[in-house]
Amino acid sequence: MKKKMVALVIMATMVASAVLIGCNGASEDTGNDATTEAPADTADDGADDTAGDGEAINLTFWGLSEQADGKEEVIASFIEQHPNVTIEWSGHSNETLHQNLQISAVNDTLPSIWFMWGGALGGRYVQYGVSRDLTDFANANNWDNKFTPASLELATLHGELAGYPRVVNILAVYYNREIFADLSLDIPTDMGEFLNVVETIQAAGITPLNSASIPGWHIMRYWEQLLEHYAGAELHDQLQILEADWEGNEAVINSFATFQEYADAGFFPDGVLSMEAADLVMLLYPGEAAMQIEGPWFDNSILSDDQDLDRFGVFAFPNGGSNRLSAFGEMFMFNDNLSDAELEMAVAFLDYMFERAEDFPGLVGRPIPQIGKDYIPAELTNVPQIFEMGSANGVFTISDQALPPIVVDELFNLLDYLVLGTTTPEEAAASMQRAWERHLAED
Amino acid sequence: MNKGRVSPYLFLVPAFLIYTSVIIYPVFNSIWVSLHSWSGMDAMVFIGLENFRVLFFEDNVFWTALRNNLTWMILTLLFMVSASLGLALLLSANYVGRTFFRGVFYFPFVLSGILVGIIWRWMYHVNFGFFNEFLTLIGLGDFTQTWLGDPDGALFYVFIAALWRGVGAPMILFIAGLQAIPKDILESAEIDGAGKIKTFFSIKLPLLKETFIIVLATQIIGSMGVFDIIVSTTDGGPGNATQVLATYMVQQTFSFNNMGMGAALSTIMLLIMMIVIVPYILFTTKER
Amino acid sequence: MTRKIRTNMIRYIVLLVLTVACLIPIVTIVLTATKSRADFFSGLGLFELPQQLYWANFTTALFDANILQYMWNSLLISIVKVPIGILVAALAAFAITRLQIKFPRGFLIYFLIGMMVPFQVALVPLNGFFANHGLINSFWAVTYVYIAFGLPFAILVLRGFFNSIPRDIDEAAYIDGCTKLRLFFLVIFPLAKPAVASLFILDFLATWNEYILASVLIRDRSRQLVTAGLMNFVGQYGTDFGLLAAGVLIAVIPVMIVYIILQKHFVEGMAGAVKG
Repeated sequence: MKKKMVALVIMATMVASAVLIGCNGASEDTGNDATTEAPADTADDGADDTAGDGEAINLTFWGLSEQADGKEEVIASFIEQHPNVTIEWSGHSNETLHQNLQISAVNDTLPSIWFMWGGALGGRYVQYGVSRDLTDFANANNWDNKFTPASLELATLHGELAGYPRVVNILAVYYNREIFADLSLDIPTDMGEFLNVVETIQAAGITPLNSASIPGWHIMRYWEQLLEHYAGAELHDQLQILEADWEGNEAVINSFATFQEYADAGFFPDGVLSMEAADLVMLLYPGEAAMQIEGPWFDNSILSDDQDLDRFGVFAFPNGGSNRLSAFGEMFMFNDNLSDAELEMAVAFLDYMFERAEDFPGLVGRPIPQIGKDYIPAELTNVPQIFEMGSANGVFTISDQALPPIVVDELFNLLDYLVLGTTTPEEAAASMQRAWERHLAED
Repeated sequence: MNKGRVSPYLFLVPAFLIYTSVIIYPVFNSIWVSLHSWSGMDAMVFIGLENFRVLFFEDNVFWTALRNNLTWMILTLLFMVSASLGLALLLSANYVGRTFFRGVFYFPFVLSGILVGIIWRWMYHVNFGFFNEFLTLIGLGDFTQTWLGDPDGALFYVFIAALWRGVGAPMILFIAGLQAIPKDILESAEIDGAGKIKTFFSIKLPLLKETFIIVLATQIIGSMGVFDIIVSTTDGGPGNATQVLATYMVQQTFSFNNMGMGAALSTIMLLIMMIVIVPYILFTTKER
Repeated sequence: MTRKIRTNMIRYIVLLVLTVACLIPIVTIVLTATKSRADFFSGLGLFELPQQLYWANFTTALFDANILQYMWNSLLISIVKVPIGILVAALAAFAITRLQIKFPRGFLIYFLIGMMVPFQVALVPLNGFFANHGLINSFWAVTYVYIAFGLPFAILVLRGFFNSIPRDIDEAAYIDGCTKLRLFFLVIFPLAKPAVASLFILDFLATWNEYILASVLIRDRSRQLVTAGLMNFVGQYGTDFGLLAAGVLIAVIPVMIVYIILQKHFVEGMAGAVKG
């Protein structure tokens, strides 16, 4: 009977409060006022600061599980220096991070700090005013001299500085040096040479372009290079913000057509549509596949899989023009409801975390986009080259961050359909246009 | 007739409160949200049945998903039910090792659907999965497939994984139903000289009516709600070939931040299930 | 006799073939769990034998990857959730089948509707409620939600079982001066032992394997439940297959123990569900 009593008490209280909070949708009307409130917040600055360091500050901090390395240690030593602060870290998988952030945003219970990608993914928090606009804070604290311009640019969304830059990722073609040496292949410098390399590798019985379509962003990395090739930098940038139409656009149609030819020719692995991006290394490491488009994290990944990093080199996809590489930003966003003291403490903690990056290779594992912090772990041999190519050739925003989510989803489906041959390049271009229209209708 | 001072309704109170707060309240909340356009972060805008209109008249993926759910239901009714009944017939007689075999066929059901999906994804892997290696091994290398990459076959291949995992549950129900058949009926049939097949069709099958009803009901509910095994095998692909209502609902809600559309999809799922299941409930709860 | 032997032979052969087919995926898991990362990356097929049995996956899963902690968390929740859930369901099923209440059928239908609710609809409202009341990561909050989702099926099964218990027992008990509570706890509930045993298995299974709600309602890694914890091995840039497979094999042990202890009553108990 005791058990029953316990159960009764718990649920009675819960039901009572369920009735009290009522429909949680109704209380959501304040979100959009954030921008108008911002000036008032800054006016309060002085008052908050005088509250002093002794005031208890409790921060919650969400990121990906795989970023957990060293987090607890860094938090513990930070808290030691700031006894009035608590920081509760929790790691999520890629999907559950989005899901839990969305659920929390609905209920107005977002964490104080959260890891987020740039582009449309981070942009939606800005759009709905649930994340903190850091523009004033950055000006006051001279962030222009603290972060690299590229990192600040990738963290600027809808005209706001949306987050504290974490890393800038630039994507290059990782290739197996042994295969290239065995087949006496040189690094391709234009599309003709590239095609030649691909065909030679294929003739040797090796999959040239390693890729997966679950989720669709991996195979997208090849297509967007083809689009850059056909459209050139200017038109590609215009397409990404719909300043140029996709439907009937020759560059778009050609990019889809060449992509389809690559698939038909068998340049991608058999069963690419059933592959998971995470499993691709099982083809790459044994030399069953030769090339794979990845970012600077991949050096770390190869090393942590106990593979010899010297076997792999990088080059920029020779898409023509300046051979721009695709890039995306990662950042930390802050809850709009943080007080100024809380925001300062949160930023102080992130600063501290980056200072400790050398102690914990897994904490960031990539160049820190802060001026004067050009530390790159020496064992990451390809990373410096990737960043040199990035600054020499220029970058474009990776498609799944540049385009709205509905358009991205349509793109992923279309790439599958092109591989299957159930759509044509012309139809695909038209479908992209319609996805844009659906997106515009919803906004 | 009821003795004691305690009101009989008090017995219902705990279940009623827990159930209503966790399940019924969200259902009404969801129906309410389905009538709105809402990103989850901005103000809700009432749009009536617009979400449903878009789904029914403008959204091809919705129809694909619905068709896949129905295909899944038919596959389940054909294969899951007959396989589990067959196993139950094999396993209901009394012989050595019965408990062991029951355990073997029930075992996959103790694994979570999401993990079963991951395991079967490896089995179907084009390059190093079991099926292609096995086919090559026995000299049928020409028959290797891309399996989950084949839009026409993918749903069926995922279903095989679901069949492997799920067959034990209805099997246990059928075994229970077979054991509830009074022995004397079977014995008198044997005395009358009825063969095994005749006994099955004329005696066992009719007496299993109640069991069939609950098996069909739980399987239909499961078919409409199928989710985790799809997510961890194909994630709805290739294209949208294996998209089902539950995966599409999650995509609308969490990838597109389209809370209203997601809620409309779950409302539709609930309505379809109710159309199929409410007659079942009414039938089984007949006063007698 | 010969005919009987032949039937038995056929039966065993069929069963053995089916058993082998059924075990292939399990063998895959075992082979995966005993492979090193080097094996995977050397292009060895998933179904091929490892070059050398590699047990480190199991020790890593047990000691470095927190599996034991996750299992302990799930075990605690199951131990509290399953008995309370069954008791709450049994009380309701008792009222519906054996007490004089108005609209017993209405109540039953009300409870059974829950079987049809896609659990995803509950994510947003439940998270809102829990987050606003500081109940995220709360053991009791998750237990409460799990109890609710287990109720419809438990009520269905127990109702069928209670219906099969002769009503004369109630009459006799009341004449002896038994109260309704005593009748329930001392007579009816004990009689339903087989149904309770099979529900115990099913409930335990459902709790052990639940993933989505746990990943939303529990964010503190040290309090994570076992299936959500296992999914931590599935990474964005690479899944540690060996570790995951070893984790699956370890995590399945408690469920198997529960099944083996209670399987004797399993079939008998499910009879409650099939009697309508």
